[in-house]
Amino acid sequence: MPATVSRRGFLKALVLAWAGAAAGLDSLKESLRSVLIPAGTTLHVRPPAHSVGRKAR
Amino acid sequence: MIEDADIRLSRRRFLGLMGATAAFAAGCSRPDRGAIVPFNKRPEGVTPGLADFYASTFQEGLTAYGVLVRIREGRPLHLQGNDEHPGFRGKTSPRAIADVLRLYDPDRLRRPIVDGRPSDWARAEARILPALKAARKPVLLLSGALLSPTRRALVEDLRKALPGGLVHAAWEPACGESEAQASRACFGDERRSRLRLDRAEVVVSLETDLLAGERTEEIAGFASKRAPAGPEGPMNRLYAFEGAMSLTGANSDHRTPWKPSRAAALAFALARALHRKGVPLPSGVDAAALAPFDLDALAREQGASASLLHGLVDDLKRAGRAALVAAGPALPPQAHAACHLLNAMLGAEGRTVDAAFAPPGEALAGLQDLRGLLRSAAAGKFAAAVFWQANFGYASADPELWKSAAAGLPLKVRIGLHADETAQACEAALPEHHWLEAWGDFEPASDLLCLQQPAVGPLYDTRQGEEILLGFARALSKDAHALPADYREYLQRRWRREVYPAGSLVPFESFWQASLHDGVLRRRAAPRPPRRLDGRAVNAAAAAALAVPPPPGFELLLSPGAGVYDGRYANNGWLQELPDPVTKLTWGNAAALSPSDAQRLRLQDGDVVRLEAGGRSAEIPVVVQPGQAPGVLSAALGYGRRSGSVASGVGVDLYPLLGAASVSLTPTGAREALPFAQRHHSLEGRDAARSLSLSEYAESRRKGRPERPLARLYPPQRFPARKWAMAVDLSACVGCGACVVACQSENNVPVVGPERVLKGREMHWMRIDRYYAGPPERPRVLLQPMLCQHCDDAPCESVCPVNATNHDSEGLNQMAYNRCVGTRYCSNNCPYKVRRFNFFEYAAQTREPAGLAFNPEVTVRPRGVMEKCTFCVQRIQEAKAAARAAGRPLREGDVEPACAAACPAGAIVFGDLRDPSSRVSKLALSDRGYRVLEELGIRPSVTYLADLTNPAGPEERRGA
Amino acid sequence: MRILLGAIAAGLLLTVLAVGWATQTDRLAQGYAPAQPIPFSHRLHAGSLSIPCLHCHSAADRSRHAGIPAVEVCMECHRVTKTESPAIVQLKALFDSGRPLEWKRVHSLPDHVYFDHRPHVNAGVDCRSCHGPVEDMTVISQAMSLRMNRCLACHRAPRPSLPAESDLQRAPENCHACHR
Repeated sequence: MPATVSRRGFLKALVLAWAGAAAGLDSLKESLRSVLIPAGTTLHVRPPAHSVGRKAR
Repeated sequence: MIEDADIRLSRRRFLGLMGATAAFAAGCSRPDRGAIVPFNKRPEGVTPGLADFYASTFQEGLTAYGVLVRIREGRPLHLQGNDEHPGFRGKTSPRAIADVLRLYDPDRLRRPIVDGRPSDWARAEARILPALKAARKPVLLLSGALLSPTRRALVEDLRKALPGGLVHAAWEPACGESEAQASRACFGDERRSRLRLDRAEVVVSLETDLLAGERTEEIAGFASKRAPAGPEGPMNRLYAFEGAMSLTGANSDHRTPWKPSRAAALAFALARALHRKGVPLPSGVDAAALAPFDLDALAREQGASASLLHGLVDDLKRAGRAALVAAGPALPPQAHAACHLLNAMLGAEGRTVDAAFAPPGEALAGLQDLRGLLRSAAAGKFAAAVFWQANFGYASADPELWKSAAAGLPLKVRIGLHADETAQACEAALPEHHWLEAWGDFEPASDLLCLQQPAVGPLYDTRQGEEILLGFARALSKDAHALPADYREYLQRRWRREVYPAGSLVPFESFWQASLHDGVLRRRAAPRPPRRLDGRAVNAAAAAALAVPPPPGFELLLSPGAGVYDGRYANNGWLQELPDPVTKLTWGNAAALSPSDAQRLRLQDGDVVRLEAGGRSAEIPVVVQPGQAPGVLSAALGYGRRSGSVASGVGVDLYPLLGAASVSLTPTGAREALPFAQRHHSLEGRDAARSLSLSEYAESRRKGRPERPLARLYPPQRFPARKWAMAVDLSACVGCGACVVACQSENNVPVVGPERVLKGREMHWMRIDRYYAGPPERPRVLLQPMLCQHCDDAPCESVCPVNATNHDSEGLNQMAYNRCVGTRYCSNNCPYKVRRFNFFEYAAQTREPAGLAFNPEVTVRPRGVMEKCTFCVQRIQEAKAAARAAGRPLREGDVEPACAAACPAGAIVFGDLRDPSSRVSKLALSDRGYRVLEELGIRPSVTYLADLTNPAGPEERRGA
Repeated sequence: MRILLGAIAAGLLLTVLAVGWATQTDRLAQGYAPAQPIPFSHRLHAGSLSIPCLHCHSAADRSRHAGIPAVEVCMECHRVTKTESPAIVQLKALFDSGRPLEWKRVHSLPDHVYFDHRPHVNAGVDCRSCHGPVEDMTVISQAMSLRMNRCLACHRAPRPSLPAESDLQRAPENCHACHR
């Protein structure tokens, strides 16, 4: 089957593919990172006041 | 149309473009690595990367568990028992371990809600306080069990401050009422005695939950009598008579299916038989009252073996003070009274039934009392109502009554963690601290006090429940300065006044700090003299037991859910996915019925039936339960919640049937797929889970262990420094599930949900297999914790195409997630089915702030990788680093995986197999020891010690 | 036609390879030296003043993280020292406000790695073996590529990084040593 792509379209698609792949891979890595590193929450955790802890045992 | 020439022409430009976009991509991806944010002022003792521990106390129903909370970077991550607590000794219940997840429950209320709108504390107070001040009628306070001397003092202060007075009732939907009723009738108070299974040689269980997961102390006591050094014993003997199959029955030496309505009759018949063998009756008990109870007739009626019952009488008589007879919470008070009689006759009262340090009991309201109060509320007898702790709107389970009570109350206030069923009916919902953010004290025994202290600062704009009540009392009191504004101060003042020993040389501040540090305070208290049994109460109970007509239809046994309890934990995914210890059902409840009834009614697992009693009904799927007594239906409470993003719609709400002794059953023709975690129940003649009676044990020891030379396909592994190994004593293990939850919490094991459990895709690294052997009417139950066996010649390793799983030099079968490409060959080749595959990005479904519960020492696995037990390698590495920092070698006991640390029975032992003095290497050589599927030649590192039973029989009797 | 398809395939393959290479986490890591919110100089503190590393990074021998000192630690000296310098004025203001100081992260390990400072510091490995000549850095920069080959190279032959009296010959090389 003959491909019906114009040169301009082909180049456009190529550039888009590049940008898409770069952005996609980056965001994929980002999302992986956010899953792998459990921290990263906006909730502020404070140590308790007046409690008496036991040190590393 | 594009022509070849065009492409040729554009080659240069094509390459140019390629270069340009590559530079663009590279430029974009220059990583910003975020920030490192140290403290402005470092709180004393907080070191990033090091765990801290806080001792605290967790209350559930009528039990206060001493716990130790592990904190990392300010986040509570993992719970274990408080090792300073004399009863729990470092162990706790599976639900206590799982409750750290409730702290981070995304559904928690974060600010007060007033008249259905998010609000703040000032507005909430403006809405509530004027109404309380103007109250001419009493205010109704409905709470859970208080269990705390300071809370009780607070309720009294509130009573004094309210102009119209206070009516307080404590209700625990899951605790049953008959035990307290019987105690009141027989001994004159509600004091709850401790059941000392560590002292009992012969235990008789009538429908008890003695070995259910939450009975940490009882499990430890039982297990201490279950793993003898040799076939000579000593070993206890457990007789179970029960309608539903429970963990107690599953672990018993003799289990007899027995209708709950006849349990009291059995206990009285045993008392009569003992009396006829010369055991005197306590004063006041009328021998004639016992005369109608005949052991042989009962045995015939229930299809039980008469010789077994007569043997039991002999066993009880021989054990004497070391016997223990107990009845379960679902049984009527007369059954409990009969047990009191038996224990008194045997001299067990004061020995195995220990009330010497029982604190003053707390009168709990029964279901009828509660409904009475709600009726008074509907009649307008109260100015306002405050609902605290228990979820009354859900568990009182009478929608019309609840609605009319709500209509009759001008002001309703909910103090709780969630916008639950109760809160939805209230004008004001006041968000409460989770117990890990709150203060408190408990008095589990007259010689012991437990302190509860925050392990984390409040996550949201919440207040501790007690502090809200204290605020009411302060605002209403004429003498406001007598009451401090915060509950910690209130608690501390009461301790200074009433607990701090007068004339002590230690300043109060040091005394207080030391008590908080330990979490418990042992006090000097005089033991109470043994209780005197009221003979008339026993006579009355015997008459009542005789008068019970055989119930029509099916007898119904409702018990709190193993995970969700009375429904309060239904929003906790860990507990929803924790399989029921017997049926192995997750995510919901089902009505268990006996195989013969199922055959008669042509019902199979998952067929939905309608249960009806007293005009109320519920539609619920059935599960065919081997060992279930014919004519008995049993099911778990706590499901079918109507609020909570995890809880709502899971399972069926059976509270409408609470209090009904019997129900009618009609099949509806509908079917439901049930998410069982285990679908095959027979060992098919293999010996993966071994069980020996004491005489078989003696026989096998005489013959010695058969040596089976195994072919080796690979060169032997070498372990130059050490070899990690585990031993699991099946005789001590009762199958409670504490290890499963502890593993889930420690290792970031995801929750998958019912649809995926149905596909067999649950992710537990540690599970408990349950097998049935023998006839389905009277099966033997075998329970076996199963985890990665860390085989020396592991079949999973040899098939991994990318070498993601391989062996390390210390015997661990390691799994490198970043190498894994997810072929799942390893799982196919694992004979134990302990490898789990991440079909989805489960962690990405975690809603904030539940991610705070993740252990930062363990990878949160992404989609597409295989995972499994690592023997808690993070704990091994931590122990090694700490030992090196201290300049000493690693010692026995330095490393304890989460499952071993959590096991209340002490059934799991971990250590170095190369050290001949370590406990694990001694157990590996035990004559009960075997390795599962060792005939495959894969050399697993986990040694199982065969289960032992101690059945009665002429040749089996010790000393005879 | 065939050439066209071939070109597309080759283009795609090249795209994937090039983008993968361009975005690999550690490619530009070595020498990474971002500007910090406070122009703190290790050359001055660790070099000229010879303050030992563990004075500020005090958890390195006790915890997996060496620890970045709290603002409070800086103020121990800067309450009296160089109080008029603009950076210290800024620091003082921050300290008084109680807000934390957000340093730019320089060293970031690849995902899936669990590094622990303790065994390294306690075995006597010099901080400079990984962090480079910090005492010469005005702006802190990443000296070592934090890739697995660099870790393994030292784990296989640790002697050059260890003090002479140490009896260690090898460091662990199994996966679980760093991955879990």
